[in-house]
Amino acid sequence: MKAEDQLRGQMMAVLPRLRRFALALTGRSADADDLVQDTVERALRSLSQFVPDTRMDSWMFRIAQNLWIDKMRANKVRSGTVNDMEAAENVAVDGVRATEAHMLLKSTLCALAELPAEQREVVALVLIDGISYREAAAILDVPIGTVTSRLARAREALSTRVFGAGNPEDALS
Amino acid sequence: MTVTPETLMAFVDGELPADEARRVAAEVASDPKLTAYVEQQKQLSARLQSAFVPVIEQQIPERLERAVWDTPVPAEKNFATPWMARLSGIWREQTSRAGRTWIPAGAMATGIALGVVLAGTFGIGTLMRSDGGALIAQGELARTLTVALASEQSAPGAARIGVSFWSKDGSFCRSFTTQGGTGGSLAGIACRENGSWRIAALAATEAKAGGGFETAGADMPPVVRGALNDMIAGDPLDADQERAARNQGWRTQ
Repeated sequence: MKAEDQLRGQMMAVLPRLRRFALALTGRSADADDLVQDTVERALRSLSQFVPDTRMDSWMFRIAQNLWIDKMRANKVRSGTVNDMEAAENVAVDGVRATEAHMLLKSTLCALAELPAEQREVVALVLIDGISYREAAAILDVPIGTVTSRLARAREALSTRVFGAGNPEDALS
Repeated sequence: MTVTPETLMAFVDGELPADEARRVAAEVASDPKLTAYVEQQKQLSARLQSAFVPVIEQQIPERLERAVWDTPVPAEKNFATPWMARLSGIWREQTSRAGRTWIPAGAMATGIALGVVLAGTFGIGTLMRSDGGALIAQGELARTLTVALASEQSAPGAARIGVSFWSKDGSFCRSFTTQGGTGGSLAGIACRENGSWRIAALAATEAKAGGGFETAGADMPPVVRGALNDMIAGDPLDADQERAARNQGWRTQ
């Protein structure tokens, strides 16, 4: 087997998680799969830059995140919040037919869409994918402290939305 | 209270070293407000994850699969790295030597393809699992890696430690061999990462006559020995250092 095919095989193994990551970022399944496709093509075109013996998943997540930021800048969405109603109406998740599961995913995507982009990235990596703080910091190319502070703010915002008005910080005062 | 919000969040996310996590857990248990907060934050992660389960389980769209297999890799940049050279050498070795299969360290990053190879060829599902794209020791292998000292191994179990060492990227790593099934035995290197043992290198060898293990290093396949030489920082741990590292739970400070 060619070494190149080995790496393609590694990419295939990353795709389910990459699609989830892309959906969490973009909020729309069509946009998510466009992002995944762009990521795969970019990754293969720059395969020589893949650092040997490092994680293929982190490398691809990083490419996806960079492409997404570029795309947002091009669309002048910047890192602000996505308009909530627009996001809610645009949420369309192909192939998820079970109504309850679909509603949960839809409401989750709406909650994520309300977060600033930089918090959404951290939530997608750490809370949804279960990546460590250290790995997330490497993917996003920021210090660990930045990951944790973004995560703390995102947790607070999501908790308020998901669990109601109770401020989770109350427990800590 | 002595737990800072940052520490509490790291606790919820499983980011604390074992002993600190125990300390925080005790504090959380003794404070209903903290207990409620931690419970709520765990629920939050669980809800987020469960929302995306259908996405993970969906079939990969064909266009993405095609992109993975059909996007050309620029020929002029064809893997000039030592690792790729090693990898292709390894595969040559595999195809030219019946009865032996080298599994390159780099391939450990993959899940599906390798998992099929391993499970099919060696039936090692009890000793390792694929997790988030990495191969993680489990069962008897994980137990041995965590508790056994190279200097104090008596009866051969399912796994045996060779040498323990610090890697250049600052984690504890240990070479090991496992007693294979009928297919042969495995030799490899595992590194401590987030409380588990990530397999960093692995090679399969033919079963030894009589099924016994030889002394550390003596029967280490060249691929694993090469990986070890690439990874090691300084000398292997001596018996005292190894014991100290084990007693501190293989934590890197």
